[in-house]
Amino acid sequence: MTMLLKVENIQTYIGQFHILQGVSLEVQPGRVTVILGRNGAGKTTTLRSIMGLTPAQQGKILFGEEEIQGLAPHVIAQKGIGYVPEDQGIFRDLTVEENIRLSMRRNDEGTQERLAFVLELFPDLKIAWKRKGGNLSGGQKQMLSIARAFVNDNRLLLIDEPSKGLAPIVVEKVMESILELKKRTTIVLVEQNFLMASGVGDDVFILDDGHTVYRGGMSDVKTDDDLKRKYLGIAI
Amino acid sequence: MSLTLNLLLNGVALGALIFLIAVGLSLIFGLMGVMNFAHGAIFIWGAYVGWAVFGATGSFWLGALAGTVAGLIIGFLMERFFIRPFYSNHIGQILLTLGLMIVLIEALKLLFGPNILGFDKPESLTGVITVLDDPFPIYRLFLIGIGLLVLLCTHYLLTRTKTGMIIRAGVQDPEMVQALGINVRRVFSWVFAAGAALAAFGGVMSGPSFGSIHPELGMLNQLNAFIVIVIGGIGNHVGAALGALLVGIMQTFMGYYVPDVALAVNVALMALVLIVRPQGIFGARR
Repeated sequence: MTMLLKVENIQTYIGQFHILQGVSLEVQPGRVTVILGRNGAGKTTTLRSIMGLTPAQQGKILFGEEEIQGLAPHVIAQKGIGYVPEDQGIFRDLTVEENIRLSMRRNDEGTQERLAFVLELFPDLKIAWKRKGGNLSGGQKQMLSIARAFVNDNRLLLIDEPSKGLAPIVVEKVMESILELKKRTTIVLVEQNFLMASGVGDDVFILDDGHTVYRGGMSDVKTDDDLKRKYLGIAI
Repeated sequence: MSLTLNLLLNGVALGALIFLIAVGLSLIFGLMGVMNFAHGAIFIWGAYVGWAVFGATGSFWLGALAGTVAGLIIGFLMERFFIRPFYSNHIGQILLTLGLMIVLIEALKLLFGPNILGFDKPESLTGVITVLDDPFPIYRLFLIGIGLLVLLCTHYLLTRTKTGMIIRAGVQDPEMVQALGINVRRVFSWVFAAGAALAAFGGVMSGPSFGSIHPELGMLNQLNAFIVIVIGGIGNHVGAALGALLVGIMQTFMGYYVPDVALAVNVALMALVLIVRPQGIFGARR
């Protein structure tokens, strides 16, 4: 099967630290691929390397058939990759409307349809339309960040820890929205919250100390207590 | 017109001039994190080019246009060939822009000589107008109008256009702007060039206001601009306007009553703002 994204043995440094020492992933179109691992395993750096924000020094990243490592982040984004960072990356002095309009690369029918879809999915954003990003709650910021990434015709969304710092009820809402988005696009999800990840994920890659140490289906991980204990620190 | 009102109007006019140099510096620092010590040199280059073209053609407006274009070109070339490799190196930026300032000012001295040059007002803006039964120079009122116009245009650009949205977002988080598919570096280049053009335009406008120009004026105005952006908040055009007004008014009043401490009072005001509100009056915490 043709992969939408293929990461081949990437090596990434932050300053003098060798963070990714051989990360490989394959992402199939139309599925949710979850990257799991303990704190400091290299999950966020993997997403940042794919986006070109912390470029990989070695290895290969293929988006469709095209090599994208070494390209500038804005060029990578224009190729159809949306990014929802761990800190949501909301522009606090811009309103919800401005945050969304800023991210819209086109203003065609498709974009308008996707905008209507996300506003339907996150009605809170419609209510807070003229409110500044800095005045939103944590959950609203997360919704806005996801909406901003989805509103373009992106073939792939990279979502980093969407449940982080959110109340359980909001996490549930975010999870439901990811399940809705999954019907329309491909998602790579970094998540510490295994319960949430297991509810939405199809494929799993586990990172440990900058290496890919496991690849498989979510159903296998759910039933493999040793794996969860060893790499995810989940007490059974 | 009372003396106080006269000083106040003069202070506002000086504030309008300082705003022209400070607003570009503020956006360049806020968006790109570049502390441009050569900004004042661009200001004075604008003044000299404007003076030369005004002298050669007899048209002040052509002089203003030429000075502004000179600033745009210097700013564009400076960003493209010197600043760009130093974006993440702040010490390098300071040394580089200080060096560029010296080179630009020495080049001016080489071309025009180190002496003070007289800069006349354009005929259409010479003379006085009656404000509350007292005369007030038309040129100073014109400066207030120009400052207001530039503030309104900047405000419109920043709050009503997509480019403005990109600049405001870029001041907060340039990395995220890139991740949305926007070439923020290109925007950086244009903001740098536009900021330089505004400073150069301010240089041309300052000439007739002071009646003369000399190469060292650049450094003096740069210092005022630094004070203004610290007071108003880095990267905020309304803050730059308010800071410029405060500095202009303070400098005019102190210059009249206690001239020896005029500059010291502005520096003290900056220190006070830094203690009470380090991000400036309109600045956001970083």
